[in-house]
Amino acid sequence: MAKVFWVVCPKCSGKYYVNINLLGKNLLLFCPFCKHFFKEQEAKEIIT
Amino acid sequence: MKDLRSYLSSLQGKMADDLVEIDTEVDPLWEVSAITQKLEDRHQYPVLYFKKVKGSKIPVVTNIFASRRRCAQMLGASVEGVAPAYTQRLGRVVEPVYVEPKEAPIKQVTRRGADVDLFTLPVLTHHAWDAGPYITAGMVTMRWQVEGHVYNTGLYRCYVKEPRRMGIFLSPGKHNWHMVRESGAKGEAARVIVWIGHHPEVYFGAQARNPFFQDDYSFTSGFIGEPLRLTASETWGRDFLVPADAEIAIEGTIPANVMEVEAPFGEYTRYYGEQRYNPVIEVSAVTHRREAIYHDIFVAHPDNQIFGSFAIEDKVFKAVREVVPNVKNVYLPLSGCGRFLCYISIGKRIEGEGKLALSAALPVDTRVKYLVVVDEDINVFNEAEVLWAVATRTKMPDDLIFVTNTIGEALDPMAEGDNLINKMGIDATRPLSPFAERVSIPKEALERVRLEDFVPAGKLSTVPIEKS
Repeated sequence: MAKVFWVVCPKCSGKYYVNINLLGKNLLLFCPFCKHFFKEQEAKEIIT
Repeated sequence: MKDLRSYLSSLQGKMADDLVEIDTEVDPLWEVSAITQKLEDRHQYPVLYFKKVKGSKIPVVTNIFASRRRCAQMLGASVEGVAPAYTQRLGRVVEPVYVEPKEAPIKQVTRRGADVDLFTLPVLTHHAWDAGPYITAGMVTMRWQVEGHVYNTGLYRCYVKEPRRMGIFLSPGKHNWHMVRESGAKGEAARVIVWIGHHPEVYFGAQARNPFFQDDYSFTSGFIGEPLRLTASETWGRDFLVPADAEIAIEGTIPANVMEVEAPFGEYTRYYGEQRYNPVIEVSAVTHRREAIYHDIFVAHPDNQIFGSFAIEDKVFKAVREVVPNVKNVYLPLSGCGRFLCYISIGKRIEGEGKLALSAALPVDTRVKYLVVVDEDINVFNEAEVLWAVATRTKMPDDLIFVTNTIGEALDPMAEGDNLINKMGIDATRPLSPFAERVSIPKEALERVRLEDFVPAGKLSTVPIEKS
């Protein structure tokens, strides 16, 4: 079972990963590259 | 009296080659990491003292724990003697002493409330994906909710996100994690002090894996061989004590059931720990010494991996010694990040002792996944020898023990679900029945022969050196 899912930042397209337990909860996420806060639903892409 | 300054002075005096002082200004964003990495690429691991750090008046010292040789010397042990020395030191318990705040260096500069700005500290950003600046040598101290002053100390990453707010990752199952959960269940904030910069021996003592409800300050005092000096905190006075000789202390509370986004962060596994929701620390005060020194640990590198490995080696050594008194040594190599791999040597006397040692060591720490037990003729610090023993002294599956779906470590990239992992132990000890003898060259011949007498002059230095 995967431990993480990947997200693509809607602002800078930076790609990083998040703990799988947060998937589908539409919590506020934080891009480590451009420091942008965004909801999971706003991500450019979610990769599971 | 032991503190970070006395340690640095001792380096300047007796081990000057182990200290590099850098006058040129450095950027806390990745630049210190890049310098440390470039030295690491050259297999050089000095303590690095950066006198000027952009954006702060406070200098940075890092890489203190990056050399096992240096750490062993600090403990008065040989490189091979760390585990026994550590265990012996932890066997002592000494009561800390209280000093009045006016005599405590940590109180020389105090900031409370709105005067606090964590961004005045030279907190480093280490790796490309790190969410921001992280305090990596912060000894997070909490008080057990039991009778008397009983403190727990441990190293946890702290993410500086606002002038008076930090994120903190409390690895599930660790003592401070239990304490925060206990407070949260009652709807209460947990009190916490993060102190930074002290004598490295104090760090080793404070990081020891002591039983629940035991006072880590007392164990630390025993470990360093002198009473740790404690003083009153700014926020709670004598009801919550802080090391008087630390460089910097950050006081605050972890509010009940507040979780905020934290990470990614480059961890000891050499992978990024994934983004999570974790507790926060609301900072109430910062105190520090005059001309304070900020201590950083270079996470994901030997500075971090060696530091954390000693406490686990001690725990494994003690657990194995309970059932196999003739245990010789324990080593957690850097190839396993100083956590996941463990080599144990024993003086085997009866059949089955190898597996007995494995059975004792497997549950000791959630992070130790793969263990190998070897005979005492194998040097556990030489991985080639350990693997040679595995290759020539085992018959699978007879010499294997395996545990599936046991609790592992949250930061292990292979942990699944509730951090479940599999563990494996290999008994690579020789059978006691008649067994093959390893080859050797007669000692007499080795002592008699001098290469210079046989190899043409000047040729020896030109023959390529092979590392494998």
